[in-house]
Amino acid sequence: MSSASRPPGEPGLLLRAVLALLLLAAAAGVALALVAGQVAPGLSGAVAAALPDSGASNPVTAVLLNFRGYDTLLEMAVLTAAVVGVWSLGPAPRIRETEPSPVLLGMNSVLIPLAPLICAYLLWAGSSRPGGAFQAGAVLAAAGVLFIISGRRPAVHLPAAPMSWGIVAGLGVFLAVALAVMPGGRELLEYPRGLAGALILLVETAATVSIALILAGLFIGGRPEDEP
Amino acid sequence: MNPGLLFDAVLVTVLLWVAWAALASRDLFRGIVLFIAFGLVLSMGWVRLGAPDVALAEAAIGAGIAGALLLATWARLPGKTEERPGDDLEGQERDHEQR
Amino acid sequence: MSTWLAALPWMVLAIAIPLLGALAAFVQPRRAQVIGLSFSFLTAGAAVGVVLDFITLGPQQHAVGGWGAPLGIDLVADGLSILMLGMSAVVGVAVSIYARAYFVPYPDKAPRFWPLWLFLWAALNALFQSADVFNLYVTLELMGLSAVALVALTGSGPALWGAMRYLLVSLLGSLAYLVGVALLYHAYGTVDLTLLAERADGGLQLAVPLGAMIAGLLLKTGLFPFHVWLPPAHGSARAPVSALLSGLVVKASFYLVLRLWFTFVPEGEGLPLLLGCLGAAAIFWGSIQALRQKRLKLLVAYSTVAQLGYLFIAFPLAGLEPQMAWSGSIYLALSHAFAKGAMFLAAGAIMTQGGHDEIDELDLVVDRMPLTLAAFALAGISLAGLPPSGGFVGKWLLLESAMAQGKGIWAAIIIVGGLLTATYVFRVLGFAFTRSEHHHERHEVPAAMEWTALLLALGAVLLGFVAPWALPLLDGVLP
Repeated sequence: MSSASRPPGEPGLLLRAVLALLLLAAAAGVALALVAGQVAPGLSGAVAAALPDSGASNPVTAVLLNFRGYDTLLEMAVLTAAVVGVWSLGPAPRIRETEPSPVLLGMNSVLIPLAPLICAYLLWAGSSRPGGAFQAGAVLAAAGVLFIISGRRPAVHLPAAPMSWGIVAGLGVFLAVALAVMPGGRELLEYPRGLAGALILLVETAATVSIALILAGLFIGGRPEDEP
Repeated sequence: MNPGLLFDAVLVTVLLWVAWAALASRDLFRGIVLFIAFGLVLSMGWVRLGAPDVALAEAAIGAGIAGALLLATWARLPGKTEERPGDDLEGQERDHEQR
Repeated sequence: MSTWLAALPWMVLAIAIPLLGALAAFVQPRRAQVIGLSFSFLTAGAAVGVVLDFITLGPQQHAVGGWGAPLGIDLVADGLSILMLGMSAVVGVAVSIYARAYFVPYPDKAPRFWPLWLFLWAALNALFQSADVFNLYVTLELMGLSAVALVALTGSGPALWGAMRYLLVSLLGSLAYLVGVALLYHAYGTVDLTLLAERADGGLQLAVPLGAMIAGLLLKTGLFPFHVWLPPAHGSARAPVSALLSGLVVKASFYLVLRLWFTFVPEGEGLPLLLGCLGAAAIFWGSIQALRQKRLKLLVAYSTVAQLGYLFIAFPLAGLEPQMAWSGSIYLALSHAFAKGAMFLAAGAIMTQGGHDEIDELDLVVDRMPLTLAAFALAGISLAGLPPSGGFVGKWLLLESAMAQGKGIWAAIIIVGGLLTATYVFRVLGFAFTRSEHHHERHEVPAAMEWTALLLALGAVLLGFVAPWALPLLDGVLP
């Protein structure tokens, strides 16, 4: 065997062969299942039919925030749990002031002011065109990341309290809206007629803030210093 | 040949090639950069499939944020520099560019 | 009870309350202990509400968003769901009371534990009530992520290593499950379990997704030979976390295997036989490894590997005697949650007291912690399947099912596994009654920790007495 020459941690030839065979078998199985049977029509018809009642004219937004809003609510919980998990690992690494590169500073001075604008557009566009809270939050988070790597990382010195309140805002508002519509015999997340559009925008706005803070928080990689 | 089909064929080939290159790369930094490139090419694929929402998400999250997280992790890996890992992400990136 | 209480949407509250509690404990880290414990009681109360609704009104359904399947997501609480909800409520409350006392010396860990545990509880309650395969995927992700973070909470090198392995295995399992979901939607145009059961027609387009989903879930359940991640993760976590992981989290993925199995009722003898053989291998391998361990928590963790094997013995037995075999397996899962929870809590109390968990250095621990030792022994009785415990009822049903079909080999495996279990339990008890030659430092153990372990172990034994009322709840769920 050539095991003597391979670096530590690298799987052996036999294991590699077995894994490759398993993967090939899995891929073949998936391919077979895809060609073997019928293709069901899917739910786009049902989505289109219910779209006028959904509060959004973009079918993707209608699915994510209304028809299957409960999935999105739990996904917000996944993101929030991720940040709680990262904070549990320890404080954010100590930052040493560095001299930022002029290229990066120049780029930042253009990109960072632009980011909130793009974010707001994506958030607003989400109801009728491609866009929405996840993309908008990601753009805002990217601006935060650029800011952090420019060498002056104020986000780490941000006090814990506003940061943690901002992180929970998305799930908190979503949950509050989902529960608040229930009195009067409605189900969880059953938006009252006429209010759906406004409530979806409210939920998405809070989610955007949280997603941006969560993604930037994951990048920082630890809890703020004043957090116990 | 239909130009749309030709574009798709090139796209799929590039996608597979970038994916393989990212996986096979011995240099971790190279692998991460290729992964980001993979995300961008994949988002073009979603556009071609008529799913602009997924394309936006893939570009922003799959390539952008995931790439940033991978780079941040890469910068903290031990044995890269004498300094404490994680201290100077941007400086390390600069070091790499100079090499 | 007043009518407004009865009219509350308990199914929704059982998911919403722990989520709200997680958020509250996260933004108020200095009050996390009080907030966490209060919300634990409220969550358990909501679960009891679901159980009572089921008993008085029968199976419950809730169409989230008012759309109904296939456009929306349906929540369903049937007999199997409420048994699992009830199990989580009892074990959850016991672990919460224990954790309140356990984390007092760790002011940096407590604010992290409570939000993660409440997220985990919300994921469990959501998983047990979901009737939608994609929504189930989201609950699996929430459960896996918070469970991994809870393991990493220990902070030690081995725990971080175990958590990382657990994370990778968990993600791989979820990915396999998700591939299955995509294929099911492709073939049948819905992700609702009830509609899928009507439309599924067999053949490759059902077999491949079902195989991928079950394989992913077995990975998450830790069935032999997919168990390698389990002992490092469960053994290195903090005691209350280990109790939750071994008691509840692995049961959730097993529950989902059962749910898929009952929905699609796969044909053929091969897969059930394979699952049964893996279960038998798990019983032997896990028990032998447990016997060889030097550390108490690792012994208990390997015991989980072995006991999970029992749950899969039902698959080859279900052909002719489905009712009896499935009831036995489900009852074993319930009893194991109580018993293993109690055992990990007892191990944690012993570790707090002596500062270590070396088995041959237990040094007459019975003199100092009689309650904890009683908890360990009672839990051991249920694990070994001795009467009158819940474990006895489960194993008896499996045995009877095997004998009725003349499948003596499975009966032999069940009995030998029970003997092995008794052996490793008595090995621990033996050292607890022996004086060690070394001197160890001793710490006070809060009474709440000892009593919760004991009450949970008593619960595992009492489960044997309530079986005549608990088992009929499964009518209409089993195929």
